[in-house]
Amino acid sequence: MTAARPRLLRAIPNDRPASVDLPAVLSRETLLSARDGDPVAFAQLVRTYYPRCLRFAQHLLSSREDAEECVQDTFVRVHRALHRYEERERFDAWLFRILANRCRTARRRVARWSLFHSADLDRVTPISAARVDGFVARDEIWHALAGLTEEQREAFLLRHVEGLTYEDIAAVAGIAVTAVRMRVSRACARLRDTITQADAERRNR
Amino acid sequence: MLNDEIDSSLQPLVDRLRELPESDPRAVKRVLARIRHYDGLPNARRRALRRYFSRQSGWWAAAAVVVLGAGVTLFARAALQSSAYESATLIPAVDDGSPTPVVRAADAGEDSLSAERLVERRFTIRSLEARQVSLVGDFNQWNPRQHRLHRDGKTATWYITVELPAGLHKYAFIVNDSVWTTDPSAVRTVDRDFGVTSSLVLVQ
Repeated sequence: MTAARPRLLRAIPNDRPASVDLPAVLSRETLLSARDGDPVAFAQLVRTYYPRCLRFAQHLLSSREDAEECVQDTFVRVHRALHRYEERERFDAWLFRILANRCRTARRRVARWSLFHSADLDRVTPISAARVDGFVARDEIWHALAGLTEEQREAFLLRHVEGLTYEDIAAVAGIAVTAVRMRVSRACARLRDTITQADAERRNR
Repeated sequence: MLNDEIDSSLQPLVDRLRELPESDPRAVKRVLARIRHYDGLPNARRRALRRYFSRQSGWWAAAAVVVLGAGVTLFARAALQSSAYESATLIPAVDDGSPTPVVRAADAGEDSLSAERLVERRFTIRSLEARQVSLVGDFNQWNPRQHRLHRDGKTATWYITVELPAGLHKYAFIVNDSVWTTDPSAVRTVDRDFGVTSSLVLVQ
C-alpha cells in the first residue's frame, strides 16, 4: 500500500521542482483584496513577497543597494498594474516578470556606469551572512553565478531557487519553453564544472 | 538529453542560494511610503473605475479609432479641397467677352466715388471645386458680401464685371467664404501691414 503523499507536495504542480521549499504564499482572498485597492492587503502582499524578490534581485545584481532599489521599484509598478492582474496567471510568475524586467534595466544601467567607475567592476557584495562550509562560501557562490550568462543565471534562479515552472519562466523571459530548458541545462552544466574545479583546487592545496 | 535537474553536486549551492536575505522591517515600510508618495493608495472607487476602464479598453480604443479616423478624414478632406482649389485657381480664366452684369463699386456706399470716372473691369477665375467665390478689394472695403462672382457651368469659370474708379487697386478672391487666394493672371503684392498677398489691377 502506497503511503499518502503529504498535502504540501500534492499542492505542488508536477512541473515544479520537488525540492523547492515553498515560501509563505499570499492567500487568494488577500490578493484579491489588494487588487481591489485594500491598502492593508497590499502591505501584506509586500511583506510576503519582499524577501523572495530581494533574494532574486541580489543574485542577479550582486549589489544589495541596487537590488533593494529594483525591488522597491517593482512593488511601485505592481501597485500601479495590480488591477490588470488576472487570476489565470500565477501571481508570483506575474510578479517576477516585472522584477526581472527591472533587474535587466538596472544591469544595463550599472554596466554603463561601470565604464566610468572601473572600481565597481571588482565589487563583490555578500549574498547573505557568510557561512563557510566547503564550496558554499560567499565569494565562491558569487563567482559560480558570475560564470553564467545573464540569461542562464536568470533562468536557473527562477527555476531552481524561485520554483517557477518552465512555462512561467518562458513568459518571464519572453522565449520558448525549450529555450528555457536549454538555458537551465547549460547553467547546471556550467555550475557543475565550476564546483568540480573548485573541489579539485581545494584538494590540491 | 538535457540535464536540468539538481543533483547532489549542485544541492549545496542551491540550498545556499535559497536562503532568504536578512529582512529589514523598515524596507517594507520604505516600499509602502514610496508608493504613497508616488501613487497614493487609491480608494476602492478609484480602483474600481480604473479596472472598469481597463476592462472596457477595447471599446474605448475602438471609439478612439473611429473618432480619430473621422477627424483625420475631415482634416484631409479640408486640406484636399484647399490644395485642389489652389491648384485649380492657378489656371487663368479665358475671358470670352460675354456680357455680364455690371456692378458699380460705388454701390458699396461711398458717395465720393460716384463723382469719379468709372471703368468697367471684368474679373474671372477658374475653379472646379468652388461653391462660392467673392471678390474683395480696396474698392469694396474688402467686404466679401459685396461682390459675388457668377459661375459659368460649362467652363467652371467664375466671373464678375465691376465698375472701378481709375487708379491702382488691390484685390483678391475668397473661395467658399474661407480661402483667400490671389488672381493667377494678375501681378501680386504683399501688404506690409497685414502680410497678406493680394493682386493688383490698374484701371485707366
